[in-house]
Amino acid sequence: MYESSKLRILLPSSGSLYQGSMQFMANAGLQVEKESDRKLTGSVKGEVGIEIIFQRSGDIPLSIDNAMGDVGITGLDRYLEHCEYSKRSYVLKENLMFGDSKLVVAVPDGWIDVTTVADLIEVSYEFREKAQNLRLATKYPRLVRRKLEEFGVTNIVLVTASGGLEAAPVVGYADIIADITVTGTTMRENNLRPLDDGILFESQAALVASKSISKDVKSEFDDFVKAVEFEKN
Amino acid sequence: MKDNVKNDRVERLFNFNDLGPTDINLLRSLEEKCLNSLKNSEFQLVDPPAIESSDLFFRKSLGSTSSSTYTFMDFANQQISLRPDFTASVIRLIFSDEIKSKFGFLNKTCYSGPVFRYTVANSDPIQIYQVGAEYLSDKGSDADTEVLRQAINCLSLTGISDYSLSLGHVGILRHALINEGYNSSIVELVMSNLESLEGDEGFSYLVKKANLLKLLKGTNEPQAIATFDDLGKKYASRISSDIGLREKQDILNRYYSKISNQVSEGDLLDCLNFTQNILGFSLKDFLNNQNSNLSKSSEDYGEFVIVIQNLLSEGINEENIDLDFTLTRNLAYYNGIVFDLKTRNSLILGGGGRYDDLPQRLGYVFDEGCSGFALNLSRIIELMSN
Repeated sequence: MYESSKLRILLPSSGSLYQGSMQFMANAGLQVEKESDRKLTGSVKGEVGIEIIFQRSGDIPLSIDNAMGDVGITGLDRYLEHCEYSKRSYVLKENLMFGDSKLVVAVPDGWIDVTTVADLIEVSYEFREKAQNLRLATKYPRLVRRKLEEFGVTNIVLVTASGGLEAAPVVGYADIIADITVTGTTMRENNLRPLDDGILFESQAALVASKSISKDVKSEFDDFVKAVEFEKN
Repeated sequence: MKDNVKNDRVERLFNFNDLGPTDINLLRSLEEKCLNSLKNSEFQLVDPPAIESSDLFFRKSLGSTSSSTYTFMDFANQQISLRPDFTASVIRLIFSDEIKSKFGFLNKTCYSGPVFRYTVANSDPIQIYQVGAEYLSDKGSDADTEVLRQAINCLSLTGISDYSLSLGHVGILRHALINEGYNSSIVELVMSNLESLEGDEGFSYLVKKANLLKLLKGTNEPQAIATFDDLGKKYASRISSDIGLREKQDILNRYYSKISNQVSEGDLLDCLNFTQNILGFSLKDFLNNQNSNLSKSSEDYGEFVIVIQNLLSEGINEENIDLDFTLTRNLAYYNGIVFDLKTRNSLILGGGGRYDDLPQRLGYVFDEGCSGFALNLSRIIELMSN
């Protein structure tokens, strides 16, 4: 746990979540200032009690959960993957109206018999009967496992991968994938087809907070909460 | 905002309980009573490790409990889990060469100790103390009666006399539906959603679900395709692309079967009515129903009736037995009788049933019967403390 007399806000360092976060802060009346594009620290104009740290959005959930920051903006999917049941952090505000994404299950297009999750369940048993495992590659193993269980899909081995999931069936380390998509174009170009009912999770950017905020920054935290409550998106 | 203020004290983990002297003494005393009783009935005490290969538990439940199972990578990069229950570990122990060579085949075993299940939405403790037994024997009513008898006896030894026994059978309803001529896709849909039939919206929910799953006629474009060969020609280029480990023939076979198995909405509703009628049976209805289609549906029916009659003749009060065919516990796992032991206000204190395929699923050669039960001693001592 870090010790600071300032409220520490973690923001995504790049990509659409960076742009959206900067706009979100501005809409809440908090003008984030940064000396250069490469600098990973910043401040809020006129707010000496706040410091800004820029991090990869995927690292922000665990940083907040480990109390390395007080509040942060990240994708809800990323947060739930790491911290859904954490007692050390919580979602302060969902659906910040940017950073839209869908976590979708896709199968090889040649699997013409598989169009729904129920088909997938049957095929998983087909694999089991041949002493094989149906393997699903994903960057979100915990979230995917939980969501698949809600759908009744249990007989699947998850393979955690960090990128290039669409190639997994061709390379051979997985049979199907669950990945974030917006339009599905990359999946289609790689001969993968999302299931008709295969959206496991729809997500936007979310504001998350630590449950270990120091008494020294409590008033700054309360002011920040008020500011984002009235944020005009 | 009080909860958000930093607190440097190391606290007990959420949903884990400390047991003080009173509770642990009570727990040990109940554990001893149950184990002594089981040992007197020739069950042999075993104690498998609390940590096993994750595969053991995932194979047992086909992964259905994997998100509530504590799973880690160990120092040797093996995926390991804290046991979510004893059954899989005890079966593994029974079939281990070392145990078999020292003790022979242990067909009656008992156990006690903690199990670990991560719970999300409620305040149930994660570390639960169980006592229970596994019985590997012939399939049939004798073994089912023995397991039920031991479970009820152990519960009464803990001092709980006012209980209800929810009793179901996974095989009877399934066979009845198949005997009525409903096709397998509809039977699976109904069997997987029995609880939804208890609500007012059950029928419309299942019709909607069947539509979504394309089980109903008129919802899928390939209706026009008449023969298997037509399908092969139409989709030849698509199934020539990368299809991973699956075979082209399997894909075509399954697709053809999927199309030809579609039923009308009327057939589905008929099946739902038939099912709902059976679910409404009381114990008396069931015992008096021996000339109906249900009784002819399978040998399971006759065996199940014998089990109930055995329980009644052993002095179990009829009012304590609640027939419940929606009770499936876990369809992927149980294949015969299933039961829960509950308080009058439906708090589950234990349960069990028959799972004959489990040894095979864990990789052992065995084609006889396998059943067992476990009591939740943590819940029982909590109940007694209150």
